[in-house]
Amino acid sequence: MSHQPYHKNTVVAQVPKPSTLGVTTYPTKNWSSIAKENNMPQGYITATSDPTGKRNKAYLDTFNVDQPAPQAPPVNPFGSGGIQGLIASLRNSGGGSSTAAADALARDRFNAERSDANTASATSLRALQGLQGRLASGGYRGNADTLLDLIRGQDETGQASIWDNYNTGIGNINAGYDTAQGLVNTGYGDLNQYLGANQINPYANVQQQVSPVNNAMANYLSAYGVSNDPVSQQVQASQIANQGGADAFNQLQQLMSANQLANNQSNLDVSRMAQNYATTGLGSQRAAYQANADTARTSAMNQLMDQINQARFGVEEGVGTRRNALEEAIINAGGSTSATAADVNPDTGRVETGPAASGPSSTGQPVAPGSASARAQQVAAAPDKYPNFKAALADMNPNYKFTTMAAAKKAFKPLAAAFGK
Amino acid sequence: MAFNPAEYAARLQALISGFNRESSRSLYDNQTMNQSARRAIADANTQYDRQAPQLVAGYGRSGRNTANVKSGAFASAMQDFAKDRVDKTGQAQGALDTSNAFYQGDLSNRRAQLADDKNLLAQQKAQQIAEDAGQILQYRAGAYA
Repeated sequence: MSHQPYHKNTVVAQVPKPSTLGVTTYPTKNWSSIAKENNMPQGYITATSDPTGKRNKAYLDTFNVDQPAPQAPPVNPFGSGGIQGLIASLRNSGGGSSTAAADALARDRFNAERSDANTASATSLRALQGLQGRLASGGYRGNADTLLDLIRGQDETGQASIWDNYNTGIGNINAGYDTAQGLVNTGYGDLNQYLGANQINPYANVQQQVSPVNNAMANYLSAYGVSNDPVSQQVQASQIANQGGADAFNQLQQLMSANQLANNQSNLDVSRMAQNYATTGLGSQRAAYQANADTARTSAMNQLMDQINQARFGVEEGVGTRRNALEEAIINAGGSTSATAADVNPDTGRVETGPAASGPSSTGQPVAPGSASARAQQVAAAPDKYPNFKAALADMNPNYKFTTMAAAKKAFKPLAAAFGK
Repeated sequence: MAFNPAEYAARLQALISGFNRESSRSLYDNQTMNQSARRAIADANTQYDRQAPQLVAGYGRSGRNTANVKSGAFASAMQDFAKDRVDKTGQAQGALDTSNAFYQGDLSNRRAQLADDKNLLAQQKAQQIAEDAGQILQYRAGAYA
């Protein structure tokens, strides 16, 4: 058995002298020898520098060296603390006083190691509870929600901008159409009005006048007793000839007059048709521009949606990766991933109570029935207790809202693994 | 090409000026022709009026037109003379009437042509305004055009 001290410069490592009646005494030593034995600083205090010994005493007090043993209360030498006690002690220990000291040292060491182990275990437990708390509270999401809010803001801003551009474009198109339609109505309205007011027919009253053919010598012939009958026949013939030419002319004028009337009506019809055509053309033009605006808006919306979705996907992918890593870390540490936000201690941020809590609480509460180890046993025994994964899931996690099998398997991987899924 | 009111007015004015110019010339030609034709008819009648006594005197010297003798030859000659006068003056008058009628017809044609030209110009104006309206709509549509 070694006598290595736990702490430097402590007297715990010194083997006490054999006790007498339960009183331990320590030899009185010179401070320099003690300092040398305890590897204390040399030359700090000398006999020359401390002729009164006060500083030496203070030094020894400081290092707890060469102190008188505490005074035990008076002991009945024949009582349990006296000879009988010593005898009993010897019987029980089977050794001398040096063996008891080694046991004490071993006990102290054991206690120290157990304390260290408890400390390490507590640290690991707190770490696990912290991981559970981070998983249950959603802390693993980090700044994902902030990023998603930014992305959502970009989405809203982008959509608003696209709609603004679209509405502005549609407004300009409609305003342009109204202006254009007004111009068309004015232009063709004026034309229609002009044509309506100028339905002239230059051939309306055009007729060839037939001057009468006279027998200027009728009286002359009568004066000489000559008959005018043959001359009258000539007058009639000439009159007919002239009338015939005039009739042909007049027929031609009537034809031209009819053509002119038809032409006038045609011009009016053409004007109205042209106005209708122009109006229809403007409508088609506007419809095409509106379609272009719709297409541009749809394209911009799709592009924005793709960008937003890609950005969201990237964030959620990171969140999923962190959640998976967190769940694996919890599972590897023997913890449960079924804790909810309600299980998180808001003061510590850890899952210390509830069915999914791991280990005893920091407040010293006993281990919860649904602790990690107990739950691990339940999970291991589930295939024997339940017919399938879903039945086990429903019974062991009554608060879980089942959506899809994949989600359930992802959320309860150990249980799914127990069923070989 | 955007609608230019000044150009439209100038074209309209050119049409009207051309019509007036041609109508004036046609009217002058017709008046001149009328004067010539009427003078020719008047001259013909004068000639016939002068020749009629000579014809009567000729038959009188030959004894075929006296107070007691009215030969058939004289009557026939007088009738032929009168018929020839009717025929010639009738043709001349008919030609004058036809000329005047065609002048009126020509004037009507030019009036109709002027009306058509003015209609066409008005239609071109309206069409140009409609095209300009389409351009305006296109400009307003901007990137969506």
